[in-house]
Amino acid sequence: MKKTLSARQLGLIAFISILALKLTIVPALMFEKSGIDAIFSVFLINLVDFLEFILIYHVLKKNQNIGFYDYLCKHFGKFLAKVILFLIFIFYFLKLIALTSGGYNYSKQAIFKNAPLYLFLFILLSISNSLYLFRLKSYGRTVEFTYPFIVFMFLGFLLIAVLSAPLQDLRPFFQHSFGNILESAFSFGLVGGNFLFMLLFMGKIKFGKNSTRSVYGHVILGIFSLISFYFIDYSIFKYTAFAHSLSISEIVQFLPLPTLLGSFDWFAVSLMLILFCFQGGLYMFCTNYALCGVAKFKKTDKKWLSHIVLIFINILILIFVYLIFPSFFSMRTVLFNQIYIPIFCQVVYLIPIIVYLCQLIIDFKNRKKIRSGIKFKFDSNIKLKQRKVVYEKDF
Amino acid sequence: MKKIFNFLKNHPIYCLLFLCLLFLPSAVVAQPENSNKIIVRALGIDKTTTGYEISAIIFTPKSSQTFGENYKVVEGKGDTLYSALVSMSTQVGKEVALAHTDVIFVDNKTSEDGLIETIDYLNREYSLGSDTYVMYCPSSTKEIVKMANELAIGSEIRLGSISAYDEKNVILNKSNIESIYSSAYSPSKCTLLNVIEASEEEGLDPGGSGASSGGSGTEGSETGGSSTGGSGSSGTSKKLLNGGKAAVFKGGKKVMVLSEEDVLKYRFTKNSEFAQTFTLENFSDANFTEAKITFTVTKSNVKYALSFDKNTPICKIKINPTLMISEVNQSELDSDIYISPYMLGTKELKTAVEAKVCNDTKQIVEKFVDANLDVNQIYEKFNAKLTKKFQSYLSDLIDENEYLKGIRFEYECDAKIIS
Repeated sequence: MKKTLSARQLGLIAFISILALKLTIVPALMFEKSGIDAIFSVFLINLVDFLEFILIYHVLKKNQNIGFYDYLCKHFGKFLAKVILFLIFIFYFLKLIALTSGGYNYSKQAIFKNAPLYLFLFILLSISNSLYLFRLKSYGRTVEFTYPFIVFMFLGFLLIAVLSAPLQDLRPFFQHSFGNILESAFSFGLVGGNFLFMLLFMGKIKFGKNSTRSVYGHVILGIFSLISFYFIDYSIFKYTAFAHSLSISEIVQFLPLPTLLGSFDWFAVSLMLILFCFQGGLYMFCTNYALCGVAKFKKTDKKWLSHIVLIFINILILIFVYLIFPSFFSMRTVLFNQIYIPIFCQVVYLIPIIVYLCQLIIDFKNRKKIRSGIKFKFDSNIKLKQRKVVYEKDF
Repeated sequence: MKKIFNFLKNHPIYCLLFLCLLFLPSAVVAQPENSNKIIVRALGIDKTTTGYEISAIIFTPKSSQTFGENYKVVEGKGDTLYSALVSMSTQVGKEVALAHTDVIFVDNKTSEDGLIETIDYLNREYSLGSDTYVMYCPSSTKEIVKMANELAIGSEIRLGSISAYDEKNVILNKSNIESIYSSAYSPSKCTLLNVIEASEEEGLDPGGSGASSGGSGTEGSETGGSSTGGSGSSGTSKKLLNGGKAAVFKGGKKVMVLSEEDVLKYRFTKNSEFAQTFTLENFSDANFTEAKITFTVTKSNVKYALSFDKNTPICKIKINPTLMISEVNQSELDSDIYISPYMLGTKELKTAVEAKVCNDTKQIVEKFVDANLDVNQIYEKFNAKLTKKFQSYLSDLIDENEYLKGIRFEYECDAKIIS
């Protein structure tokens, strides 16, 4: 199988997948639900994500020469494979809708309040589609190229906020019950599942010498940076975080620049637009791959299938954004305040666990067969030949 | 046709170029955004019986060989703040842009009725940062805005810079939109705002001939050009006074105004790294005879030691100021006070300074307690450190809002006198 992504690029994509809306509207929404304790909700979501990442990474390393669709078909059967891929498609499609709506809401406020939706969609969808069409190799290289700027800007903002803004003591914690923290983490389930995309990259990743260290390092850096961001945001706006829905732009406004220069938020806007585009590309890849897997009925790949699926997804986005969720408020009510979507997200979170358990069973069976193969090593040649034939037949 | 299609498919960049060309004509002939906007530099809000009257210092950016700002004062009226801004924009014929607003003035009626309701639009408007300064004016803000306009044209002194100075050196507290909202939603609910007023006797004289055009030796960027800012020789007779006062707000509503002396006492309850003054009157020891000694407090560290004595919360305020003798006023001529200045910091002087600091701090804290104003966020301090005990104390109270009165305050000072 052709390896189009290096392990380092995978780590960088994982870092970027953690950010985006979690730097804008999500802190305000979570603060509304559970106050300062939202930090623990975010920590919980990221902890679950990290544990899932460990499982996913193990599975990826064990299956370096097979795609995810083929893997699912082989071990779960075609029907279940399509069901799993359909669930993944819905999950990433909802994330794409949230990104579109939330991104437009951010851009409208931060850049130009009279900007029409089609302008934002034109930018986001054209870049996301291009990132998908130019394939994973280009996507990985583009991420690799822009990664230093993203990290420098993001960590730079955290530093500026710490040095310029008035930070307050966050104590006391646990003003709400632990149940409230769990409920908040549950409601914002769509915000998690950040590393699920790695399963779809199965078979495309080139693992090298220090790949584990590289991937783990970037994932841990991303989670740590995100939790630090929440700490800083809530320290600055301890009682009013619910009113600051453009968090990353607002934490740097206390930098004492001359008034005629305006504020520092243009850098924040640039960072967010880059992140929206990259995440859009990633979600486009995931939705496309998943839906192609569902729609595939013959063994051979058809290029036209992926193009048709791409057009179909774009049309769906337009329908959802213009007709079903015409405003961010309506989208937020459905995605975060109702019970169906969080339950659905928890079901999707089971997928890596199921795949990992399946992999464990396969590993166990393999070890058993290898041991039984070794046991007959010292038998007579004829017997060994017979056993060997049987051994090979089983695989 | 097929050739063209294949060519475009292999070179998709040309599609993008074509799309850009479609938008080019409208972009070329479009007016620049700035030509439709007026930039507000300062905004004054007065509440009337029918709604709000606002006055603003505005300028319209214009390109010229020497860039010049054309400051003007414009007014607007409406039943809400937003409708007043729309009315102002209608008068000028341009959209109001608040992104470069330095400072917002609020009058007494607005402050007493509640700032949270009044400045709701300003909090929602993202282009106006929540770090925009807010200053309280005991009288009409219209007067203040006009004087500020004359001052800006004539002397380059901006009230935004004055407010920034006050935050750091006078009230030692943030005085902006975020601080108002943050305090209103916090358990203690109190904050301080800078005070600026019009005075007949003292303050900055905003008028005078400096308002005319002709670049009075400045870098030529701000005051030159056609100054039609309504100043000129007519100037108002009142002066702009920034007297070191502070207005105390609770829940977004003004409760009291602290005098300059009160603010000087209040400063000892906050950490500061900036120079402030401290005066000791009628002091006598081996070196001084009934002297009035003025110190510069170069640094002041304050710690709040919190504890409980059975069910009574105890707040011990430990003040460690570093003082330097700046001026000695003594009727009796004595050359000794000029010799060996390091020997002037005697034990008696130290004790007297510490006693006065403790006494001053006690007075201001008791004033706050009597008025039930938790300006120093004692609630947050106790709640952060001794959450369970403090919550238990609150639940035992008849009225939870009167928690300050049950707290026992103690004062300790360890002054360091340097020369």
